Amino acid sequence: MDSPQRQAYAAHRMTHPERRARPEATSAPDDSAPYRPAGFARAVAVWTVLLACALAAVFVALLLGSSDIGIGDSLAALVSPGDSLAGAAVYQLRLPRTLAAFGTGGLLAVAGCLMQVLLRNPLADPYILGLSSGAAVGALGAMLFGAGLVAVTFGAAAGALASSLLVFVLANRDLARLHISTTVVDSPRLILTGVMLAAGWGAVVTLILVLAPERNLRGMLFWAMGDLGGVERWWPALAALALIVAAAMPLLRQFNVLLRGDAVAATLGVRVPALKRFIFVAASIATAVAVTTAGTIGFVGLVVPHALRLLVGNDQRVLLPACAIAGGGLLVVADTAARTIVDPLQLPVGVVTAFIGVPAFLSLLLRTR
Amino acid sequence: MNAPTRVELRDLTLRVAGRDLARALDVRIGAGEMWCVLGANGAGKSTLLRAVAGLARAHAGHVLVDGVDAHRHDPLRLARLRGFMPQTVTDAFSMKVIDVVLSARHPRLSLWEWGGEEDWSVAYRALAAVGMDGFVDRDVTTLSGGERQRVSIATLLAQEVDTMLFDEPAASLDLHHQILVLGHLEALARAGRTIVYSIHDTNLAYAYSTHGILFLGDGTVIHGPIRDVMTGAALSRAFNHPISERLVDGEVFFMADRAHDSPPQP
Amino acid sequence: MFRPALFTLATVVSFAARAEPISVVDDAGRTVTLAAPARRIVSLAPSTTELIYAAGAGAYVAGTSSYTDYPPEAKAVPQVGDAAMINMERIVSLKPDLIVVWSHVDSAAVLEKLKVFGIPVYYSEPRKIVDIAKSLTDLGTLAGTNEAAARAANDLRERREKLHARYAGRPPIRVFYQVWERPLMTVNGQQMISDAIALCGGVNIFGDLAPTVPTVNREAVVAANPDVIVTFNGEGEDGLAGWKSLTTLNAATWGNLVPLSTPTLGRPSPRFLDGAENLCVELDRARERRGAAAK
Repeated sequence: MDSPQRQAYAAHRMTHPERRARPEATSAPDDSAPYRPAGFARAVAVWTVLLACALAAVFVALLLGSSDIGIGDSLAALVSPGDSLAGAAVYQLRLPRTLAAFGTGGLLAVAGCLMQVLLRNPLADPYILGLSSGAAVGALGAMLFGAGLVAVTFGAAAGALASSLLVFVLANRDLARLHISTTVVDSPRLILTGVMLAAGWGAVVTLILVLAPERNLRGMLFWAMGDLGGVERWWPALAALALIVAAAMPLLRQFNVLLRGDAVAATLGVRVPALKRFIFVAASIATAVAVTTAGTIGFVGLVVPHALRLLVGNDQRVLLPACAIAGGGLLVVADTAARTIVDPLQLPVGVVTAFIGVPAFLSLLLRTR
Repeated sequence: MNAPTRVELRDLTLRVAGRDLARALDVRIGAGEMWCVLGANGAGKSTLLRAVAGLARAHAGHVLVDGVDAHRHDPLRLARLRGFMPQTVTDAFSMKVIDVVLSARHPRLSLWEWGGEEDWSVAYRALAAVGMDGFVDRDVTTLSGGERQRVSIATLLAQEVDTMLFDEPAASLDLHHQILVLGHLEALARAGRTIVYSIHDTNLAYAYSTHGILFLGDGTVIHGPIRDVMTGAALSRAFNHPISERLVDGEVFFMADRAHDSPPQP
Repeated sequence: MFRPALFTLATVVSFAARAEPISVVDDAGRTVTLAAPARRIVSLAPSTTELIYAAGAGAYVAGTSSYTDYPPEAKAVPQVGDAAMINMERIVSLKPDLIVVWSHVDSAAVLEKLKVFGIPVYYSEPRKIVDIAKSLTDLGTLAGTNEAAARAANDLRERREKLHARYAGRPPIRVFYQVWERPLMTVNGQQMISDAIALCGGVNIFGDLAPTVPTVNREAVVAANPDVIVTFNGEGEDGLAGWKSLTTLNAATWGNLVPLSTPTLGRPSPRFLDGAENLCVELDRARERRGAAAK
């Protein structure tokens, strides 16, 4: 059935839309053509538009900054950096920071999207469910033992994974249902579980910082509100984002099926336990890399998938890559705001995302059961 | 009439919480047959359907789909042979009806295939079959219970499998749509598909089934051609309520006794 | 009859103690009055502990705060937590007759509770180096160690004068003082470190900002392009590494990324002068490197 001929047929259809047959409808109210869902071409169009917006955000982020460096100077420096002050600001400060912001935002949005599929709940977000604070505890724990970047990231991933498993088990009230759950967790239970876990992890973070007041653990502010000002390496977040999206791409149609419930997904040929394990691990790694890069930044994973769902629908094949792009773009915008609105002072970027995210979260909460 | 066997239950024992729902069940379900699954609440209808679907392992015995143990099939291959509609499907996200139905095309598509015109028309026809073709771009979360049920049925139709398992397809449908849906399933069976479905309405079951499986509630299960399975005596025993057969215009009807205080005589 | 005799003795003792009530005005503008010199002092910050010891009243310290590390003998004194997390019961059980607070840390609510017990509280909040001398004199007065305190205060003023005479008039050098690398924090003009920078003939590039310890944008530092960046590194740490690659930064190209060798600029105590002397020397060297680069 699914043969090369079939693919060729599909490709032919795509390239020759005028040959599309009218549907053999039995009783369609048939004056206007019935709605057709987004095809691959539309997905590419969506991604292209989002990418263009994100690139525009990056471009603006490179131009805006300290009031002592004009936009014109920045623009000139962007073209030919030379040895100017603006060149240093654009290429050595703004560019790495903006790239790190893009990677981090994309990771958080993807993690949110993944958790929403896993829990079948649009309120799931790595920050709200305590994954971020779990990752912070894991990272701090690894730092206490003087671990390097890789080990710290692993520690953070372990913390995030522990946190996501806890949320899942506690919210489902049943350890055995880790793989096949028959019910959908209701939102209040899920959110309460997540909030409690986040509070618990937050207390552990405070405890570690009080008991081990060493300077190299970074400040409370970093773990509470996030900060992109001290980013050391810009590439881990981008690399992790690319890897996770690439790994998820072939599975996205299965995500669509999983949203219909475990039983339906299993009878449609999805290996549900394996797919869920993948989501757990991918969401945890995404959260971990985001947290080790920029601290705990909230609400990106909530706002981005929610807004995109309204714009492009809930086809995960379109949505998840779109989340990666739009999440990156959003955090670039938020970070640009954080470093420019009170220049030369700087706000933690988590403050900006919270201002966007909290109203969005509350409106979502009011609309779901 | 020896139709090829689609599903075979071999020495199947279903047990829930230490209680036997069915013991050593041997059933052959063939092409072109429409089997109803009857029984009181908790008697084992859903458990049987889930076991046949391969979702839960039976306590003992085997379920064979097209001659192969259901658990030995590759999940995707199995998904092209049989489909299952659970009792309730909750939709947590807004989604267009057609997207929901299209999700059933998953086992038919190769890894990178997106799904094209052919899948779209299959999904559209499935919706038309349940009278939902006017709802193609509606948001599933805004539908009524009966409308959602019909979308679920359409989803299973769109899977295009030879063996279709429905857990209460007539639940929460109005009479017109019960007849519409069951009539469509009957037509599918006549065309050679195999339908297994659970249902509470004995008269609809009798009218639309070729065969039946009746859980008596004590681990005994009667099965076979519908006229052999559905008798007033057997139903009375299964539902623990006096049920009598009546002939109206030459058709058999079952009627539950209004007096509900006297248990049936053994 | 013993009674008259006993009565007389008690009268004499209490009269002697009550002889001269001690009174000073602290940095919060409140008058602190003691009936007798303080003999059981609880200090709620490492800096105030240093001040009390320097004022010659170390023997009367009954309790100190967390992170107390100087002078070494202070570490043996019982600790009552720090200003942010004070163990009230511990304080009360030490039966102090004076509590000394560094009001930089907000602990107003806790101190409000201390009022219930009627224990006098002295607020020390030196903003300029000379204010340290005032705190020393005050604490000496309260503990009755006036002479030792006066010596310490004079010594401090003299050291300050010396630095002023030697460095304040030298060509101004623009300084970025990095308190913390992540997030990037500095001090404004109100903070005592700025007084030290000025004393050494330097200008704090962020002196005008409103917060005392502001979080600033890295780019603002690059835009301001200071002549020198100074910080105190924690153990095994290089807080200045991030600046090295910035070739447009004068401080980086001139070799003016300077780690300080003494941590004492963090505390308004007599040892602050050690830090100030070190800072002046380092800034002067930075000034020379600037001059060399200009040629």
